[in-house]
Amino acid sequence: MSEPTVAFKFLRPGAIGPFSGFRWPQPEGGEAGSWVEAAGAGGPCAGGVHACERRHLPLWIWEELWEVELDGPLEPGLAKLRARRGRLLHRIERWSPLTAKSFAGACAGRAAEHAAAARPDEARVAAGMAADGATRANTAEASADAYVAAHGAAVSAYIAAMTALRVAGREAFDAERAWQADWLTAELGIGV
Amino acid sequence: MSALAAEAPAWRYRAACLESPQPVEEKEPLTTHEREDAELLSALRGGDESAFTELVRRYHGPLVHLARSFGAGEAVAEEIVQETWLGALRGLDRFEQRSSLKTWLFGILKNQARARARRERRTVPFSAFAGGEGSDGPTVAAERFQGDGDNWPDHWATPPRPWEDPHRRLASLEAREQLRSAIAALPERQRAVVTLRDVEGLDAAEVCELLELSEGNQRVLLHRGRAAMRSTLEGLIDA
Amino acid sequence: MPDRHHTEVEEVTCREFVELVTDYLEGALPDRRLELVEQHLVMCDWCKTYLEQFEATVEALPGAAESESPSREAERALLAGFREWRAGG
Repeated sequence: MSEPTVAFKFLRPGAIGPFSGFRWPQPEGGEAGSWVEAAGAGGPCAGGVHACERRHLPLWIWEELWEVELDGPLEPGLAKLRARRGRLLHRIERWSPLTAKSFAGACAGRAAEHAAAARPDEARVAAGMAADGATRANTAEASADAYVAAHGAAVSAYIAAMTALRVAGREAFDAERAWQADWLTAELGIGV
Repeated sequence: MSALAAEAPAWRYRAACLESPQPVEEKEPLTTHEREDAELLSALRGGDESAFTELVRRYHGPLVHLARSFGAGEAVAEEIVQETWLGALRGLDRFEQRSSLKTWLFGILKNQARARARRERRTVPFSAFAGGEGSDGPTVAAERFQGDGDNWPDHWATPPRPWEDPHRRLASLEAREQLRSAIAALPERQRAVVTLRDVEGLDAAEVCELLELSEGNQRVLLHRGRAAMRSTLEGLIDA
Repeated sequence: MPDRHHTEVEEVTCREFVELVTDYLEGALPDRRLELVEQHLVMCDWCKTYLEQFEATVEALPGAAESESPSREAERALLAGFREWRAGG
């Protein structure tokens, strides 16, 4: 018998799965949302309920962030966890368009730092990548739309990671993603 | 990643692929269409001429379309469809309704088409069963993506521009005509798969059986056909 | 200067995604590839747009169905065939 696991899940507004369109039952009156059991294999939402650990949060950003409980044997994916059933525990309110914009800005700064450390023959491309990061962060900042903010954060984080990869290779890429996850964990108050 | 369209519209929710709390065990209720078919079939078995006329009205177009997508010319397609209806009447007793009526009719048509091809001693089989795949290679032109010297290799260079209100735009009579022309312009095997899967709504297994394709092969043809259709529509909408 | 680094990290690029769309919609992608597609879609608006257009195309295709009725001549022939069948011919 396996222990329930607490993990995280980004969803679209209304607790809707971004790929499945599935509307997750929300917590009510202090009670966790009802358990959702995965249907059989086949289709884009095949074979399981998905969530992620803190370290993979930067990869899955959407408008809402939820703490979830997974039940049953866990199957790790590349950057996610899959289980037979799961339920929403509570919404992490501190993840908001404002936080997303702040994160986007922070990542744009990181991209610029990485680019500044580029070798001369790669400086131009690295600067271009970082500039794209800045553009996306600015777009997010200027928008009142929750999607634009969240998406800006996702893209900005990707750009920072790829700039690090370009300039300094795989280790730097991993370190950048770890930095991003730490930033989110601290800012959202979801440390272990 | 370029500054091209910095503001993209929020991605709509995809059509639900529901994770239901309990798997649905009972057989799904018949759709209206299926019920009508069942009633018509019953009446037909009883010799009701108006039921026959109604079925012909309903399925003649798709049958002709299928025969054409197998590569038959207009006149030959009509003949094959005539034979199909007669064959359906003769085989009516044996139809157990395990498949849909449409699938059954399509199966009869396929057999008629092959029989005809054999009678005419064609050495090249009906084109839907061989060749007519179209070219190999990417379904989106390579130059639409960035190259090794660019900031984001293999990402979009000229990304697709969002379509405004595609549902309405593509439902117009003009659009339907354009769709038909685009389908007719597809290489034969792609045309057959797209017609059966997406226009006529048969499922993958049915199409694989009808066209004698592996699942993988069918998917490749479906993908290439759909990608070509999207590209054609992009050209029309962006024009 | 070829980018020597960007292949070190596993990802699905836009160029790859457009070739995977049907497999994705049919649920035919193996788990690992599916996850990489999802990771890509999270941050790529252009591929989301492409996917939407692909889906819109598929949704529109039933509209191209042919509903032509048989010609009068063909209908006469069919009715004759029907009556013959009904009569046990």
